[in-house]
Order: sequence, then C-alpha cells, then structure tokens
Amino acid sequence: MPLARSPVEHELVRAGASFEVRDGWNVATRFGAVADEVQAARCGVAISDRSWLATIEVQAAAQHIATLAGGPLQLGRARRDGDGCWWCPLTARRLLVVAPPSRVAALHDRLEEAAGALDFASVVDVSAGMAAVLVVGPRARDLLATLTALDLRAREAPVGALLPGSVARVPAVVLHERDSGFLVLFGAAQAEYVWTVMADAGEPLSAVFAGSDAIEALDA
Amino acid sequence: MTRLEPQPGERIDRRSPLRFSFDGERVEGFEGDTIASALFAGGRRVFSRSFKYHRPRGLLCCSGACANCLVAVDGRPGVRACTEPLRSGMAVEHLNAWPSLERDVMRAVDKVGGPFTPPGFYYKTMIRPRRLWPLFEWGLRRIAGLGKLTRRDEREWRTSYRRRHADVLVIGGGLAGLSAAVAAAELGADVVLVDDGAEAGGRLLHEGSHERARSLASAARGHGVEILTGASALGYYDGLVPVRRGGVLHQIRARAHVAATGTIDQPLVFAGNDLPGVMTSDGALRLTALYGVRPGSRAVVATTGDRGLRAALALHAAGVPIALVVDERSEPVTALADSLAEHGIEVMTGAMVVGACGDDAVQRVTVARVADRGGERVVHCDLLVVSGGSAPATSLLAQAGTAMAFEPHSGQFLPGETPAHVQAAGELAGIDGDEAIELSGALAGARAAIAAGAGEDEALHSRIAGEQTELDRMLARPATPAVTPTFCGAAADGKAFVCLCEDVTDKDIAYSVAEGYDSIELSKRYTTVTMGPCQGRMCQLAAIRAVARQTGVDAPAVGQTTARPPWTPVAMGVLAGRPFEPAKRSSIHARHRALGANVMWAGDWRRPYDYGDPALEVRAVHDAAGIIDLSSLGKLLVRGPQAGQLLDRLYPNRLSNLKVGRLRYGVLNSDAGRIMDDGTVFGLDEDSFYVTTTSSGAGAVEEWFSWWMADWDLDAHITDLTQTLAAVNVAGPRARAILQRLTDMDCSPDAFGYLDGRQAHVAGIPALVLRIGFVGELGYEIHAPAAHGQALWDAIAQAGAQDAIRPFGLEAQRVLRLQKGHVIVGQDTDGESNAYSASMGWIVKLDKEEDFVGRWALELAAERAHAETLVGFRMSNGAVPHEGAAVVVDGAPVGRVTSARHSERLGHAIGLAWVPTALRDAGSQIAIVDEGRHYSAEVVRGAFYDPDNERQRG
Ligand code: FES
Ligand code: FES
Repeated sequence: MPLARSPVEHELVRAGASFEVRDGWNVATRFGAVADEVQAARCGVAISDRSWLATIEVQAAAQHIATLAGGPLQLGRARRDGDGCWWCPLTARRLLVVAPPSRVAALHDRLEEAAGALDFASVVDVSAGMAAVLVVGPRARDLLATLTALDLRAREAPVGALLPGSVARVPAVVLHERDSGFLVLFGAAQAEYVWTVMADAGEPLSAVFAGSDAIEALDA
Repeated sequence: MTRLEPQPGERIDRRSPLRFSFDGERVEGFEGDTIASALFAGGRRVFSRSFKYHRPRGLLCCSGACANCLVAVDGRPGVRACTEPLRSGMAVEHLNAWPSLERDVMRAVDKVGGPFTPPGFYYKTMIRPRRLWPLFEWGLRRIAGLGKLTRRDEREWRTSYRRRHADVLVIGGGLAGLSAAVAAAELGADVVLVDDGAEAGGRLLHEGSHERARSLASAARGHGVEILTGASALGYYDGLVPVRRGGVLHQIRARAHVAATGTIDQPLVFAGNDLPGVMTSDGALRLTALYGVRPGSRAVVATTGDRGLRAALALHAAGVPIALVVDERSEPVTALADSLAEHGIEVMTGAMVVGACGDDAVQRVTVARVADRGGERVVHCDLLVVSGGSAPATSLLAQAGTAMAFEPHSGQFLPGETPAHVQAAGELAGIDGDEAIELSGALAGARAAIAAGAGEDEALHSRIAGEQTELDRMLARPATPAVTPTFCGAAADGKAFVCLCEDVTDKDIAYSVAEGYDSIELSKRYTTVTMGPCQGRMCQLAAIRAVARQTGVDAPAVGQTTARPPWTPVAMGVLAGRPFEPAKRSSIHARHRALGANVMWAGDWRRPYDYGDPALEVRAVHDAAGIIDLSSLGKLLVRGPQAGQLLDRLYPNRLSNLKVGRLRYGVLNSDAGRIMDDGTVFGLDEDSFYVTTTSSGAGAVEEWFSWWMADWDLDAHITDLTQTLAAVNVAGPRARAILQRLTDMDCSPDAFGYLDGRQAHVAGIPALVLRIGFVGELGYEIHAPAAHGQALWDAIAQAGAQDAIRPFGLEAQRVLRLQKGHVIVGQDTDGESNAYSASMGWIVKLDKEEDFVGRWALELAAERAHAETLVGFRMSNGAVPHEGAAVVVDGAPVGRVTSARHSERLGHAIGLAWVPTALRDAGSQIAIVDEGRHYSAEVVRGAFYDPDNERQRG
C-alpha cells in the first residue's frame, strides 16, 4: 500500500521537514536541529503535526461506552491508557480514541470484538479524516488564545481536559495532552488552513515547527 | 523649550532623546514622552482643528478623554497624541486642516459660515435641486470626517484577538482599581487589570503619590495580577469585555468585574472656552508631573471645587506662576484656600470666568462676580486651568446594567445597585478621599473574588463586614457640597462650546430645544452633542445642564443619554481582528496546484475550476478519459439494525430493499416536500449504507439525519466520512481499461455493471468503487482514505497516461452534466422546488408503505398542477444566456434560466430553465430576455446528449 500522508505534508515540505516512514505514514521527524525544537517546546512554543495519530470513532448506547472504554469516562475529560491511547468522550454515546498508529490494528480488533458482544455498537476508523496539531510549550496558551475562546487555564483545563469548540473558526476538539501541550484535532480537509493560521499566529511568539523526534525527546 | 526641572515621579528619561517628525519637521522628545508632551515641550500649542468650524484646538485633558489632540501617526489617523507613547522615527501629521494646521481655509466656516450652518443644517439644506446631490455628496465627503485613510496596501497592520479568561477583571488602574486587584488576588483569584494610561496608578501618578501608585502596582504584580496598560475597555457584553491594546483586541471573559473607572475632570462653558491654552486641571498636572513640561508661563485657575485649588498649589510648586484663582464658591471652606493665601496666590471667590480671548491661543481672561456679573477684571495669561467638577465615568457600568441616579450633594450621576458579579469602587462610586477610595477598592476586590468562586469563610465575611463599617464611617464625614458651574451666557463675540468634539455651542442647544428637540436624547440626535470621539466624556454633564437651563427642568429630570459601546473609539481593523477564511481542501489539492489548476470556491471548499482549458477537458471525457476530484462530496456511513428503516423514512423512494453491492439515486425532501439535497445510497452490507450528498449539503444532511434519528428513536449510527475519504471520478470510454490496470477486480460490464459498487484495492489502496457518473460517460467513482488520496490520483493519472487521460475541473463537469440534463440542487432548484415541478416525479414512490418526510406535501403536489416546471432548452442561435436570465411571456417575466452553457459536442447552447407548466412540452418555444437582449429557445425534455444512456451504461 502507498504511504499515508498528512494533509499538511506539502506545508511541512515547504518548511524544510525531513521525513521518515513510521507505521505506514510519512512522518515529519525534524525541521532542523532537534535540540532547537526541543528548546522551543520547553521555553517558548512549538507546533507539531500529529495527523498520523490514529482516531477511532466508537458509537454505542451510553451504558456501553464505559464497557468499550474499559472504565467509566467523564465528559470534558479524556483518559490515557497504558498504551498511550487517549479515550475521549465527545458525547455520552460517542467516543473518540486517539492512538499511536502502531496500536491501531490491535485496538480496532479489540473494540470490534467488544462491540460484537453488545446489542449494537459501531467502531469506525476515521484516522484519515482527522488532522492533529500539537501546540506545546509555556507560550502554547498565548498562541491558542489568538485562535480560540476556550478556557485553557491550567486550573480550568488540567492535563486530560477535553474541550470541544472552535479553533480558528473551525470545529475542533482540544485535548490538554501534556503539561502545556495541547493536541488540537480537527477535520483533515481544513488542515492546510489551520496549519497556516497557526504558523502565522505563532510568528510574533517566535514559534517553531517541531518534528516527531523533538516531541519524542520531550516524552523521554 | 518649556521643560521644567526634573519632577519627582516623572515618566520621561531625560538621558534618552527621541527624534520624530510633525508635519515633516523634526522634533525631539524623550523616552517616556507622549507625542503631545514632546510637541508641547517643543512649543506647539495648536494640535488640531475642530470638526465643524475648524477652530484651533490645543491640549485640554492630556489623558485621552477629549478629541483635541487627534493626529495621524505613520499614516494611521485618529491617534490621540496625548496618550500615544513617543517612538523614534514616527511621522506625525495633523488632521482636518488645509493647507496647514496654522492656516486652514475652512476656518472661514467659523468666521462667516455660522448663520448658514446651524444644528441640523444638513437636514434642511442641500435637498434641492436633486440633480446636485452627487455634487453635495462629493463636497460633504471631502469636508467631513477626521483624517483620511491611506491606500489599502500602504496600511498593512497586523491585528489579532487574544482571548483571556479570568476570575476577576478590574477596569481602571487608579487607587481603587489597584486595591481591588490586590485584594482579589490575595484571595486566590486570577485577576486581570486594564488601564488606559501608560502606567497604572491613575491620579496618584500626577498628584504627588507616584510612589504609592508604583508600590501598589508592584504588589498587584507580585500577587500574579496581569496588568494591561495602554488598554481601553470598549464595552460590556454580558460579561465579555473587549479591550483594545495596540493592534490586539483582548476579549476578556471574567466571572466578576470591578469597575474603578474614576471620574473625568469637566471643563467649563464660557465664550472662548475652546482656545488652546484652556486646559483641565488634570491635564495641566499631567503635563507638569509626568512629563516635566511647563503648561504655561502665567496661569489663571478657574474652579468650582477643591480640585482646582489643589491644582493651583501643585502648579505653583512646580514653578508655574499663578496670576489668579477664581472660585465660584462664595466661601471655599477648605484649608486649601489658606495654603494658597500663604503662597501669595490671589483667590477671587464667588467669581467665574466669563470669557477667554486670544489669537489662536489664550492671551487674556475676563473674570467677573457670579452674583451680578459685576467687578469684571481682565487678566493676561497663556494658561487657563479649568475645573468644572468631575463626572463619574459610568458608561461601562451602565452598559453592565447599572442604573444611575442623581446625587444632589455631589451634583453627580452615581451608580445605583450594580448587577451581581459587578462591583463599583472609588470615585466612580462617589467616594472621595484616598483612604476611603482605597478601602472601597479592597472591598470591591474581595467581593468580586467571592463572586468568582474564591473560598469564603466566616473570618473573611466578618473582615468584609468590618471594613464596610469602617468605610461607612469614613463616608459619613460631611463633604463639601458641589457647586454647579454657573453659565455666564455666551458673549456676543465668542462661541461658548458645550461639546468640543462636535462644535456644539450653548446657543445650538438652545436652538434645538426651540425647534422642539427638548429632551437630552432628542437634542443629542439633532445637534450631535455627546456623539463625538470622546463619547460625551467632556460634555455630557454640560449638555444636561444646558438642556436643563433651556427647558426649565432640573438636571436629574433631564437624565443622561444612553451609554453605548464602544466607550473608546476603536479602529475597525482591530474589531475585525485577523482575517480568517476557513477553507476545506481535498487531500489531492497540492496535486491540483502542481497541475496548474485555477481554483475556485465551491461552498466552503477550494476546488479546481479548470486546468487551463475546459473545452479540452470536456473533449477528453467524451473521447478518452478524464479524472475529477470529488472529495468534497458529503459521505455518510449509516449503520445499524434500523438503518434501512431510517433511510426509507428520509427518502421518498425505497432504500431498505437495496441489495448489497447496489447503488440507488435519492432526493431528500423537507417536511414541506421541497427538495433539500440529492445523492446516492449504496448497500454496504445488510445493516450498513454509504450515503453521498452534495458538497455543500454534507453538514446539513448529517444534522437532518441525526435529528430525525433521535426523533424516531431508531437503532442506527451515523458517521460523517466526508473528510475521511477522498473520492475521484474516472470517466470516459477508456475509464474501464484504466481502472482494470490498477485492480484485480473484474471490471468487465457483466461483472461490474452500471449502478454496481465493489470494495476492492485500487493501486494497492483499499477503496469503494461505484459505477456511476454525473457526466454522461462510462465512469467510476473511487472512494478511498484521504491519506492516500493523492497516491490514488497519481496512480490513475499514470495508468491513464497511455489513454491521454486529463484532469477536469468544475467547469467541464458543468458542461458535461448539463448535456445529460442533470440537475444541481441549489442551483437549478430553490426552496420552492419539489420533485414534481423539477421533473423528477419518478423518484417519489407514493405507493411505499412507510411514511416518509414530506410525503403529505408530495401527495398534494402530485394531485395539483404546479405553476412552473424545470425543463431543458436549446437556444435558437449561438448565444448563451446568463444564469438568472428571465423567461418571458408577452414581455412579463414568468420563469428564469438556472444553467446555460455552450456544448461543443452538440454544437449549440443548452440550458435548464423554469418555465410556465403550459410550456413544458418538448418543442415549445420560449422567449428569454438577458440584459436587455431577446432570445428564443426550444424546450427539450430528457437528456440532450446520449438520451438512452448507452455510453454511461456501456
Ligand atoms: S488632550 Fe489628548 S485627548 Fe484630550
Ligand atoms: S465633547 Fe466629546 S462628544 Fe462632546
């Protein structure tokens, strides 16, 4: 099968990204020195394309969502499991699972199997339809404040907070994924627009683009 | 130079000179100066020309509260020189004067034009002759307005929004505001304080308490308060307060608000009260204390209260000679009068200014006794400091829903009960004296923090109660009653301005009342008093008093004008913020760009209009193969045990019996039987259907499905796959061969017939292939994950290269579909069209057992003749009418053209049009009028091209 490509790949190319194939995706790993990208993510703000993250939509009766998620979920809060998957309840009957691509096949199968045991539930891989951008760093909130009216203050939206709303006037879901790191999920068709707007909003803040290597270094 | 010796607490850094230009001439100032302080220090006294009479105007308030110092900075008009910080190299220019600020030809209006330009003259003049309207408009446009915008490309200006949530927003950074911020933050609240000054501190900064101001500000910062200076709150919108700061509009949403906007020093009304050199006491003190600038070389101070006396003392201390103080009160009861006497400053009590004169600036002032206007005295001076009392800045509080009430003792309109979550503090709330102001601020801050959810306990409540008692005790002290300034009557030779922004004189108010506009709101509309750039800050009180005088009622009965946002003028660009143009693009968009596509908006998508030559693209589809990106099609996955039932209830035809692997066309109708959208439905498995919709209808259809599904409580799920799946259509006689090269699936007509669908790998990509087409040739729609969209496109282009496959855009598609007579919902139909009138009655199955949306309306439509019918037409000559051209009968419009194109393949122009039903039959002649030209056309029923669908089904 040909490589899966991010909806902003040509923007990443234009910005000088280097790519590597990871789990079937052409992933932007770096734009320059990884250390600089890490530094920006630690001290300023960095923007990283994460559209290669898998997203699985689960729909079921409210009482079954907890069964499929392996535990109760609370609206407005996402839960991270040991495999690095985020379980994001969008409504009482709709759930989005954001997962590393390496986990998606097993996860999909497990969910399908669990769904099969219920009266009726549906599990659909919508990975290609969702773009994801991580805005990370102490100034991430400043950048996002120019694009969204969501209240991202640490006290109101601690790590794990899940906020559906509008970012740059497109429907989006913001997940406070790590300390001062916000994963913005939105429709893939709007990815080029959102990416350009974010890059522009980041300019006065000296935001840098970060590849997946820098984000992995942050995780390490 | 008129710089004073360094002043304690001044804001300028005398070691850092800055150079800039005013009207092209080089001027020097210091770091920390405003444009106005630097220009004033350099000797400039005239800063602007007034709006109507073009009278010279100088610095009045020095705090951004009037409109006397409006200039253009680097081509941007409407900047207040007295608050705009000086930057090196800035190019400052005057507004509203020609050929120069000093000599302005429009000044003639002041000298001779007065009688011709009374209030509301524009309602009464320039009405006849009507043919001169364009000339009047041209003239008025040239004369009116303050400043001109530069060309668009010369005023690139980055503006943006910043959203800030907070627990408490404090508006105003004076003593009360800073105390409120500290108190709220001490209770753990997340506090933002906004102040329009260059530095927080308010009056304290220029009234000798700068150290106190700075220590309070630093305490606030220490408690984590975010202080935004140079930031003007524009209004109050249900808790949202937009705050302009430079090019950024801060949208601050706080749980609780403290208004500590203080008071505005009011000018006095007398003949010549607008001359440069007339300055409010606050303005004179600011220039002196903050910028070390001598506001005049010999001053007269005219006051109605202690504020003026305090200013006289401070100016004297700074080295400004005070020639005379006139106090309207017959006996000032304060110790300030004694201090003035001790310093040898003459105070004339029970007296007032009756006029100021001078050539373009104050040179002498005439004072007289209040009681009998006797004892006139002329005093030579170049500075007249006026203090006509203070007006609480209540506008934002009023917008928040607080009613104001007149308080006779202070002579002010003061806030009554504030809404929950809104506190008023300090001078705004009528509180006088630093100690009481500070305490009122702290109380307001604590209450706001509690309202915002800060933890409260017994101890806190008792502390607040104790502080309130203390404040009440302070306020119980007798205060000196305020004196309402006496109006001396305009001298015959001078105008006495009530409203400087709009050049409205006391006579103008009298005129408006005489004309019947005898309430403050009517007079406001007629004279435009209070409607200038200062939004009534400097004139509301004077206007109320003037109306009261003319109508014989008292000020409280006159009341205030309505406070509306914006409280401070703001550039439209700042309100607009950064321009956003959300666009959807398919995953193949980069390839289209690389292929040189001309891109157009199609709904909220950016799509290729053509790739350079639409005619060539049409030919390729007819003769070989073409490929078009259809990713924008709406795509819904409908799954569940009752998915078929759901579709049966939504569509007028039967869908639950759709076989797996088969495709059917469907039209969605509203409850009223009107056409909403169309598309196809494909049977994926027993319980799953893949539904496509129009590009623009995807969102609405998904909502429509979900809404009905919830209403009927059906067991089905809908997943919107519009952005998840890319889709391309390969069409043309070579389409099958091209597809076959990319898949193992048998593409032969027998194995994969018309309206069949298959799940297969195409170019190694898992895909859903549907044998259908909109363009009238053999074709396949291939739907695949968007992440592989471009790979799919490239593979097809490569596989079709030997067949000369071409990409085609929307224009070619429109020609091709028109040849087939295919309707585009929303273009050929409108909100009134139903399936019968749109010649698609065949799709409605009224014999269907299930009820369906719109059935009742469609049954009626089937029984009744419809007035109009959508038909095809062929033009008699080669003309192509515009979409929207009228179909006429006997000269009267009876229908319209919805689509028209020239068809190269058919050799003539064709189209679709709504015509009277009597003309719907094939061969009927219709007349079309398009932009004044008359054409004839013949009605055609069915497809123009390949009417038996042989090519498509082949
Ligand atoms: S003098 Fe500048 S606004 Fe009043
Ligand atoms: S003085 Fe500004 S609006 Fe009247």
